[in-house]
Amino acid sequence: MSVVQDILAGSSAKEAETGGRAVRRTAVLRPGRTPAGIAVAAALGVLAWAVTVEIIAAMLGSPLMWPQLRRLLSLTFGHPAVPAAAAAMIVSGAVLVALAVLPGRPRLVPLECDDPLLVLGLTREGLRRTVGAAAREVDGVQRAYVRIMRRRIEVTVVTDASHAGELLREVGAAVGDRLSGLGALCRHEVVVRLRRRRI
Amino acid sequence: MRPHLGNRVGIGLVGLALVAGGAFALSAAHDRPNALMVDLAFFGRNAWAPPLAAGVAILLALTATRWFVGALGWGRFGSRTGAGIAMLGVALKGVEGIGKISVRVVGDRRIRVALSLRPGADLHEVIKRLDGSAISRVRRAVERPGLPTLVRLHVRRR
Repeated sequence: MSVVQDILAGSSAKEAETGGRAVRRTAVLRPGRTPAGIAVAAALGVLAWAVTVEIIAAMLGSPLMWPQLRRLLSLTFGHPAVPAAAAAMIVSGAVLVALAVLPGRPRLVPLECDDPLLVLGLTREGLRRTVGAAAREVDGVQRAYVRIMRRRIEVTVVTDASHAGELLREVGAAVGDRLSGLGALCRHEVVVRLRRRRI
Repeated sequence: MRPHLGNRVGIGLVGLALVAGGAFALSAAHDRPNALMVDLAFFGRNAWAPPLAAGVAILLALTATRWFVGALGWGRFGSRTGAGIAMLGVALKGVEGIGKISVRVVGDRRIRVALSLRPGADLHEVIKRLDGSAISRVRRAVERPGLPTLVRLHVRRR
């Protein structure tokens, strides 16, 4: 391998490593589905303990047979409520599978860092304030509102300056510089909107 | 550092079980509408079945209880470490706008750091210091040099 090939191979390997690290960092910051996990675990636990008590009581010769359970045991698949209940089970099961499989929006915006054992994340509210501060530093901007959406950062600036095009470019550059300065590992498109101040 | 996957695995398995159960009930309602939904005659015929069912139910109940306790965050928040907070304070000395610092060690799994910054703080400098030497010094201060660390940065309103 020549020196140039060696350098190129080294740089691509480094890029791949950096990309892999960024993916891992984002994965760590993904939502853990805690509320859904608590609800499903609680429901499953209550049901499993109830069935356990019932089976052990039946084995000891004195089945408890709660009225609801007694009614359920006498039902056949031809009962008119069965199709609706089965459809509800399928829908709720599909929702749970979707919750488990879909990655979800990260709780924190991951930031670039060199330490492989470190994951840095900035809260979305913190990023919103930082980006807003960067927009407000541009000459002519009186107020700036920032909205962080799934794939877009929307910056609305209020101004009474006449050179709108130039101001938009300056705000866009300031926001982009701030994001790249922070090393934010997000693929947000920055949209700058301009609103004239009411006189 | 690996993400917490326990909730997702559990939710996914329960979801698949619900889908399978619903599909089975729909097909049974179509094919054999006079069959009982829960037939206990099997347990009466086979003496080995009730103890086995009880064992499976107990195992499931214990697993669900363990999952519930884990999902509530038991053992995930760790314990506060004064040495870590002091060392991070020293490492960030001279940086404007540092608010509240929190350092927690979660067993031998990870260190959780939370930094709350004032609006005028130099976020770029904070990140540079954290990535440079601050977190390594915190790891050494809590005597866990190779522990993965998660840092949560927040910028306060005022």
